[in-house]
Amino acid sequence: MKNIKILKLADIVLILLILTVLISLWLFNDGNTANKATVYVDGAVYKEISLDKIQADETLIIGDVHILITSEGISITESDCPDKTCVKSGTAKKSGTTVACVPNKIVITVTKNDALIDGVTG
Amino acid sequence: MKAKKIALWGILGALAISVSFLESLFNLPFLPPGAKPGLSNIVTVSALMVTGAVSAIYVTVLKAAFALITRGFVAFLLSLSGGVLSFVSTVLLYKMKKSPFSIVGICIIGAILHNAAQLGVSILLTGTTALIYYAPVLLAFSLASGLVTGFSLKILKPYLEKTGEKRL
Repeated sequence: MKNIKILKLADIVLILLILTVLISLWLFNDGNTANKATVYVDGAVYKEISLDKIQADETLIIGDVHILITSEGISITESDCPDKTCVKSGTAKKSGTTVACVPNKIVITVTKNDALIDGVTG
Repeated sequence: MKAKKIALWGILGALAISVSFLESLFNLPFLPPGAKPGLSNIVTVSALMVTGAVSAIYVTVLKAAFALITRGFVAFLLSLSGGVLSFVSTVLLYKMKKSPFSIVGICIIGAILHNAAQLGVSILLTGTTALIYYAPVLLAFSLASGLVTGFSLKILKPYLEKTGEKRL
C-alpha cells in the first residue's frame, strides 16, 4: 500500500516553512493593544478610528453600507451587495483582521496604532 | 460507458455545489471573516483522481457559475480566480512524475494559491492595497484548510483510483 505513505519530505518542509513565517509574524504582533481601524472607500482612506478611544457607538453610512463602530470593534451591519460576506464577517478588533465589502469597494483594516494622531483624519 | 461518465460528472457537480452552498450559509466562529473551509476542493481533487483534469476544471467552473447565480458577480470572479489558480497548481503537481509533494502538500499549496488569487482580485476590485494585511491570517487558514482536505483525500485516494480504473 504505497499509496498511504505518510507525508513526503517536501510536505514537511512546506509545513515547517509556513509555521515559521506565521510564528515570526505572531511574535511581532502583540494583538489587542491600542488598535486603529482604517476605512477605505475605493482605495482612498475615508476615516481612521482609534478603537481604544471609543466613547459612544457610531454608525458610518457610505452609500448603502452601514458601518458600526463600538468599543467591541468595527463591523458592517448592512449592505446592498448580493453576497453579504461583509455582514457575515462579523466584528473586527484585533490587529490583522479585516472586513471588506468588495462589490462596494469598501475595506476596513485593523492595524496597530503606531502613527495615528488623536482623533480623526481624512 | 458514456452514460456512466455523465452520471459521475453529475454526482461530482452536485456534490461540489452542495458543499460550497453549505459553507456559504454560515461563518464558523473560529474562521477568519469571509473565509470558508474550502472543503469543496475535496470534490475537485476527487474528480481529478477519478476521471482526470477535464472533469476537475468542469467542477471548478460549475462552482463559479453557482456563485454567480447565488452570490453575484464579485463572488463569481473570486470563486473562478481562486479555483482556476489552485486547479492549475494541483494538476501540475499531481500529474508530475515523481512529484516532491504528497497529496497533503499539494492541497496546502492549492489552498494558499486559492486564497492568494482571491486576495489579489479583491485588491484589484477595491483598489485597496491595504488588504494585504489580511495575508497572514489567510496563510494560517490555508495551512489548516489544506491539511484537512489533504488528509481526507489521502484516505480517499486508494478507493478513488480503484474506482477510476475499473468503472471508466
